[in-house]
Amino acid sequence: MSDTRKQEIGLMLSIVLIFGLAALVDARAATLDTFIIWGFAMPLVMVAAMGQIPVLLCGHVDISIGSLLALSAILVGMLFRAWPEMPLVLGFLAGTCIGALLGVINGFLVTRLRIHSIIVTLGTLSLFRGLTFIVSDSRQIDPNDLPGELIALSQVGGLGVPPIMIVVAVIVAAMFVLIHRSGIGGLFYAVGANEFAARMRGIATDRMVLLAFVLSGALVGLTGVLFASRFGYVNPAATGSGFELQVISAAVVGGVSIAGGRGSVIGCALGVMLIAAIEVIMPKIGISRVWQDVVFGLIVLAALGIDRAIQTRGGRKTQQGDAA
Amino acid sequence: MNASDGIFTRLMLRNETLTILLAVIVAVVASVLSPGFADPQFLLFSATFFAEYGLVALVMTMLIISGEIDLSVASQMALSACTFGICIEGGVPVAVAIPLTLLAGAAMGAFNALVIVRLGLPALIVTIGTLTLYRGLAQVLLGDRSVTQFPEWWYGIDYATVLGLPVSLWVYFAGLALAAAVLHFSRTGRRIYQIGVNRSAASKVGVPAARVRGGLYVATGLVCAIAGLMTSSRLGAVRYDLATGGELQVVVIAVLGGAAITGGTGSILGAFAAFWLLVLIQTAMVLENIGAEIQLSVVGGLLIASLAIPKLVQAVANRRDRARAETQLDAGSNRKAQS
Repeated sequence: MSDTRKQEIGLMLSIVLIFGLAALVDARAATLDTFIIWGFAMPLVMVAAMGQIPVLLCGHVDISIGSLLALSAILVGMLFRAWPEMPLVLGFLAGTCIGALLGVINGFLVTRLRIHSIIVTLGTLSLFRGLTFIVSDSRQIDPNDLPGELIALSQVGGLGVPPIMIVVAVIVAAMFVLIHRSGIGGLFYAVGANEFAARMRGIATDRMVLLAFVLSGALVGLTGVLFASRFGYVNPAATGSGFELQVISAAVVGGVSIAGGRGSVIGCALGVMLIAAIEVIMPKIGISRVWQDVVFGLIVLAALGIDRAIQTRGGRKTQQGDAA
Repeated sequence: MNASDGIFTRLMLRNETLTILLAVIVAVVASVLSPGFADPQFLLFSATFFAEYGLVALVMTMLIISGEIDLSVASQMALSACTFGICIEGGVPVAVAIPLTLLAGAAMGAFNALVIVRLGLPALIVTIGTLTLYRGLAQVLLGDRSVTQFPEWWYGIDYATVLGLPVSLWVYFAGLALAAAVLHFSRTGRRIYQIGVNRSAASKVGVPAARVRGGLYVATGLVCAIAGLMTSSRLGAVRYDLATGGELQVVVIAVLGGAAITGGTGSILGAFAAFWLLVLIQTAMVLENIGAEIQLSVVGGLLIASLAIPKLVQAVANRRDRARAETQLDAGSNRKAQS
């Protein structure tokens, strides 16, 4: 069994353990209600984390996503305000395209100017946030600016689950196919594991990195529309602030290595679910909200420790096993 | 960079040059736009708003030169300040609370050092983790309360002046002198550069890399505690969300100052110039009634521009060199053909 598989099973067990512990502490904590709240806590981070996978696999990181989300969401919100009858599909499409375009900016700066991705995206983090204020004239998008159907997508409808969940499931499945079942996925691993070797093998490494940032941008742009649907407003200051930390933490907890070249879509999805489970269970078993950040910080550090333990034990064997 | 480059190209390839140039341009433009701008007293007072970040950016510069980074600095400032706040609230005298706060800062830095240097985990993500952790602990300490019951004399480090200079800036300049002495005139400073250029090579020739890197993180914690204390005095209140997002400003100052994230390059002069560039630009925008959020955008754009311009100059210089080499080659082959 590969280490990735072991890590995935470990994550699954942790999620079960958390709910089990919660049930032991307080039987009321493990009700259907809790599971529904758990479900609602996931979609936004999940979609954005899927976008972060190719970037991390390439050995890069995109920390501009909080502001990228806000800028896409506010632009789509303004579109809806200007044109209330706009079909929802167009709204989603617009969000995705705007996000992808912003992703091109990130990817271009990283690959063409050879500036480290942390610094580029730290710069665009503030750049995009400022643009959000400029384009919106610091005005919030209110619930009555958004079509009712958009907000209905995040509510439990006739299907028993909110339609937004289906969107999320489709994206996770599509990312799984892209990363693990298509030729392109392996190239991301190759770039992250050893960029020089990848280039020698004839892989257009710069194009892969650019593609990774565009994918991240597109999915985060989509997340922006999902945000508007879920919360019913878009605020230029608050929307997406600190979101990058949630997403990167979830991906790292899910075993996607920050050093590049290692990780899986399922692991990442489980990481998002684990973090969401902890977030939901803590208040239910009487741990005050003020402890939340402390717990999250420790979880990220623990996940890094586990990642390193696997790396030193498995060595190069792990990377080959994952890429195959 | 090669020897045949003109002085202009060579200067433009240094990040410090561009930063100093930009600072001058901003100063000139702002003085023309707003008559009140070119008042030294006013500018010095404006600088007190940024003095804490400027101070932390000095150690950040050294960290980045050694190939490290610490994104938890703003959280360390907050947790130190909250430690101070809780001490004061508990009736601990200031003379005892200050060393305790410094100790707390050093302990946070030591924890970062332990995880990054001893366990060998990547600094970027570890400090994203401790960013959340320290901010969380600050929230556990104080909850949503703010502490304001400091003794009367504690308030207003930015208003109090000694010899016409605000106390905040005295602290900043003291830090500047110390940082320059360590980085540019001591063995430790040379070791910091050596580790940043090639850590394993440095270790092989006997540089105690682990000790220097660990020491830098502890120093960062200590300086963050000082910055936290300064902020508590300036704001007159301490809350868990003190200095939220400050890591951006600190990293921007260090990187604008020419510290390369890949390690090995950077200087205290650069960090000093970048500090003033930020002070001038943000003050100018305040005078022009430009909102804080748009200022943020400008700072971000500036960060990217300051990195992109040297690269572009380099690219142009390379192309010119190549063109020159080719013409020489052509001339050579022509001569051969004629003879």
